[in-house]
Amino acid sequence: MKVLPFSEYAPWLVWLIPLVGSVLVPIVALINKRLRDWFAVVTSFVGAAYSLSMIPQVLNLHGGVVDLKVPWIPQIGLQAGVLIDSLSVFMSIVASCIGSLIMLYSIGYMAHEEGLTRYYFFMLFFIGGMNGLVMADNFLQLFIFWEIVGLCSYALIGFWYRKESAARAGIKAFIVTKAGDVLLLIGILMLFIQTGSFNFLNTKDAVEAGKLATSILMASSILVFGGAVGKSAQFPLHVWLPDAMEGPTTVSALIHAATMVKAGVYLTARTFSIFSSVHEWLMIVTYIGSVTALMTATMALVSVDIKRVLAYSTLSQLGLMITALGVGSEAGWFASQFHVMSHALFKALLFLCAGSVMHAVGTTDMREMGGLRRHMPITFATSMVGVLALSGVPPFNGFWSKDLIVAAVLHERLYIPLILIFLASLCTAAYSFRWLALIFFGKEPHSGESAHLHESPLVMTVPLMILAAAATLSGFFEESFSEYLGLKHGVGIQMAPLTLSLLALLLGFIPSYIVYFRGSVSPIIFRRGSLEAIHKLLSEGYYFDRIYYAIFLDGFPRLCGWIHSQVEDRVIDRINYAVAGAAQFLSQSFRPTHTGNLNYNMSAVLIGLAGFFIIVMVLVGW
Amino acid sequence: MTEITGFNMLLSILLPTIAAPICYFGGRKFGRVGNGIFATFILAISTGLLSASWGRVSLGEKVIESYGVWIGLFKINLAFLHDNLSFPISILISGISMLAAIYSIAYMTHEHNQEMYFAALLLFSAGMVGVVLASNLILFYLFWEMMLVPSYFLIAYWGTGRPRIIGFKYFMFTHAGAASLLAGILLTYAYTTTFDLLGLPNILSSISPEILKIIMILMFIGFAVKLAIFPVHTWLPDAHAEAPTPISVLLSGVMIKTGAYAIVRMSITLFPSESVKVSYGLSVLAVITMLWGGFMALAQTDIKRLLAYSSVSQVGYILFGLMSLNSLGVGGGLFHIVNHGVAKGLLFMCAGAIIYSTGVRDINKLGGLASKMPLTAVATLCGALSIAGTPPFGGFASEWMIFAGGFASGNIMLSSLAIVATMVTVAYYLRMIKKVFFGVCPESLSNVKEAPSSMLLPMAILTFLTVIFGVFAFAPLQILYPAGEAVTRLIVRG
Amino acid sequence: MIPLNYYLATAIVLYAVGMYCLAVKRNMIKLIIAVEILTSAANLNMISISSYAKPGAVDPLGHAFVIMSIVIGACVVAVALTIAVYAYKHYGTLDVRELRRLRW
Repeated sequence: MKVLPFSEYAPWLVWLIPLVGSVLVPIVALINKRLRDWFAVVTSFVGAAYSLSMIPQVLNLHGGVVDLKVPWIPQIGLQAGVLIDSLSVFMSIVASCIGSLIMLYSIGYMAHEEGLTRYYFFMLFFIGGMNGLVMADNFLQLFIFWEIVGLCSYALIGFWYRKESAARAGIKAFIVTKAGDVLLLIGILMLFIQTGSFNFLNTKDAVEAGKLATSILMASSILVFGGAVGKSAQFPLHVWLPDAMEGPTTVSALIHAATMVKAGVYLTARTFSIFSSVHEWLMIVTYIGSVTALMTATMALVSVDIKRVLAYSTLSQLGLMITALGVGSEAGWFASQFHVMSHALFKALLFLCAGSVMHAVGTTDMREMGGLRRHMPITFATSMVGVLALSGVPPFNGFWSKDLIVAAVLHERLYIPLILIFLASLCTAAYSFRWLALIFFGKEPHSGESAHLHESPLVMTVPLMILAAAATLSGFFEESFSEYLGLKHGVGIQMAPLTLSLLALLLGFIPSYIVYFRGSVSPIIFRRGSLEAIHKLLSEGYYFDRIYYAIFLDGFPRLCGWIHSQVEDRVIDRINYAVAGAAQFLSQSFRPTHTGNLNYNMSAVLIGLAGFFIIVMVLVGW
Repeated sequence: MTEITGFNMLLSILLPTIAAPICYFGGRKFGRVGNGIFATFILAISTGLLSASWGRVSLGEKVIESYGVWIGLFKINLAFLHDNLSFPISILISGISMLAAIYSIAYMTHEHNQEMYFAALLLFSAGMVGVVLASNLILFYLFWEMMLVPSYFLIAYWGTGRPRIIGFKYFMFTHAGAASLLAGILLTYAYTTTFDLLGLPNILSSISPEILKIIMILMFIGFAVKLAIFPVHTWLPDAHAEAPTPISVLLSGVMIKTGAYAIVRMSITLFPSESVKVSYGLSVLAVITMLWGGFMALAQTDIKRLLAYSSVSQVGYILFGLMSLNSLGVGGGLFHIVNHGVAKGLLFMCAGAIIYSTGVRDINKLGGLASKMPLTAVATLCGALSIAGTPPFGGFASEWMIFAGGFASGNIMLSSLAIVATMVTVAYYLRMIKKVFFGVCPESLSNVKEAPSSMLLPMAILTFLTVIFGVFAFAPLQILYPAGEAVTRLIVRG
Repeated sequence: MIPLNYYLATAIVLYAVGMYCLAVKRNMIKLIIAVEILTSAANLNMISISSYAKPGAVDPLGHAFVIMSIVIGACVVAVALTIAVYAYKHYGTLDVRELRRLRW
């Protein structure tokens, strides 16, 4: 491993370099546009190099942690710091490396867009923020970067701000995640007040020493998980992620597949050692994860937008990761992190393939696509790899990681989550092959235009190929990964989880094959009869969006308007006007005494004089 | 003690006061731009003079300038005080007044009587600085009213909508509060025969608690009206929305904060044990204010009224921080005074830039301005996110301290409710930004250009400050946090 | 010697006459005469008190003030008559109710 300059500062540089780089992007943009693009890409690669350079240090730790601190706000006694352990370095590598690949991809994909200075600024700012999030050693610092990545997500989703739907999607993402952030902040502050520190290690020590009351521990654990629910778009805060597809595909790949949505999983994994003793927390985590997994997988079955399917798929896979954490065992923890790695690889791959397809075809509606495998062979091959990984087909990485999750759930005898996950895997196989078939197989929709379709440029296909290779190979590194994480994990294939995984795969693949590949049964049958109601339910997203909109976008502002007109204007303002009115009335009522007639004035003088005289007499005691 | 320890503070108040009539008389010859530059120059000197105390204040000393006896009969000295509490607020007031003066040069292009406007602006600024600097109650009250009179004229003669009525409503309501404040001050004198703020805490501890309670309530009413907490907030939306925009910057950004300053300087410092008794009730009132301001802002379509209601909401945050009576909360509340002053000043300037360029105030009639006015859009986003409590802006740094203070004082439910209230803030700000800057640009606004650079300059400075206060929060906290700690020491002792 | 009270009583009577005239009469010249009578009442008051200050002596301060007061009274009458002349030229009448512009 070559030694980079300043590599002992790598934990700090890995987030400082992209952050500073992002601020420099507008300045570089003034010089030259091409320079700006490549400057951004190079900066992200430099950050990635530093993240990789931390691996030797982590391997030396054998599962321990190093906490480096510097004073931040000395008056309160707050220290900023970085926590170097296998988890944080792992997430940092995921964020930086995939981030750099996607930045490279952007050069080709976003070539014809305007406003790229804003794009590269926020992308670099995001990469820096994400790295800062995972390297943070205390809750407050994590929260700061948590909000920063949320801000970048808002800005990037709404990148095409002239589109009404994009602007709305950005706000929706920000507000829904803010709901989670609010819960997270309450949890963080509760822990801070009880333990006196924001630091993860100090908090863990305090919890183990029993310094926290049980109710407070339970409340703060659930609240902190609430933040994860928001950021990782779990039920019931999942509604922002599908709409977030309004942003450019590179944004979807980076933020909403590979990194930001994993922040919630990361937070749950990080706080696992603090909260794993709270039984209610484990239950809530498991059930929310598994319910999300199934619910969103079913929604992916009916979606016709190329990116929305992937969005629902991301939600579902995140649900699997969260479920694995909620299981409460070390095996589950490992399974979730392994799946984080696998999912980051194959989901980023799938999004970039989708981008490649959209670049060529110019639409996002899958009903207008078909038979593209002849025109875009590289994209097809890499998409195939991604789909196989997603469905859990051996020997791709998705198979290994999903199998581990099922094994962990089965081992703890959590049967209801197991059923939910099983059904979710079934749907996953079904919708992922459906996705593949609708785009690459079948009839071409407009044969006349097929001459325009061509493979994407190298700068886009090279990242695809790299990711596909990684997705194929990363499954075999399970043992070294567990060694890296410092866990003693027995690698082996147990029969029961293996059977379940393969069963789910087959049960999902077969109907999909019949309907979409062979075409022997038309997909219309899914909408006939009683299935139509189910179809409606799924395509409306179980009416969550409708309900939320009715309450928050419609009802609530109307309520505020009503309160404003009835209470504020009628009652409270009246008091204010009453005071002013009383003053006016008083002065008006005295006006008639100013007649201007000298005689009256003199009479008033006389009366006043007489009155004064009488008062003096009374006081003197005549 | 009659030794004179420097003229900085006296001059910083006196210069704008003397410059006001000069501005008025020479105004017609200087022209609008000359007037503006003259006013800016004077206020810049004033800010510089005030910041000369930086060294001694950051070491924790109090800088007192005493000029001897003024009204010997009542033992009133002419003395000014700079300490951890008043120094940052005085710099904030003077600095933002200077930026508002620069901003006024372009904004008030089509107005009449500009020499009178700048004269009133100078007097307004001098009054506010005097309030914060005064070290005895009579001087304090003098400057409190001196703040009020020019602002009335500024609203009534250069405002929009129904300016005379709005100005009169604002004046009478705030003045009614000030009358209550005066009653409290006079009662204090009646029982302690002194007006001096530095000496009062010791003397007051020997007065009976009933009297102290009455005095505190009377004074607090005055501060509450100025601070615009629910339910005496109704003057604020009208006044701040109908005032000319640079004056809205000053009203919302700094003037209402003098009420918060006064609460710390007087209500908490002079009456510590009573403050402890009322702190829970006032915290509840603060949360109600937060939510009320937020809900009302959500119902607005006029851009300046929306910002005005947002000020009501943020004042709730400040009060919540102050009423938690521990160093985190009070420090956070004081820091939020600075952050909100900067951010709300910035937002009003952006609103003014939009109104100046488009002539439209209704957010439903605006749209897609981000491409036409990119710098304004960035500035608005920074200001809005700062107030909504998003890192890396300053608003987050102060808000988390306020919430932590709330939790530390044991009000878990209230603090959680306060944190949830930030969602409402985010909602109405993002909604405003989307309606104004994103989406499709209407036909009527296709010729809109960016605001002139003399308006953009103060906006840029304030944007820079919102980021600086967020990232380098330890710098202002170096001075503000000890003020919070001083309050805590008082509470613990008293 | 005549007791002090007689002089004071006379001064009060003169004062009452002057005030009555000011409160009732409408002719400007009559009002000016009334002001003169009031001045005389004050002067008489001052002289009589200062003459009876110490037995057998006179306090010169009071007399000095009265001399100044007489001079000022003359100036007041001069200015008042000027106003009356101009008012008559403007309004054509000596009725004081015409001078009513400083009303509400």
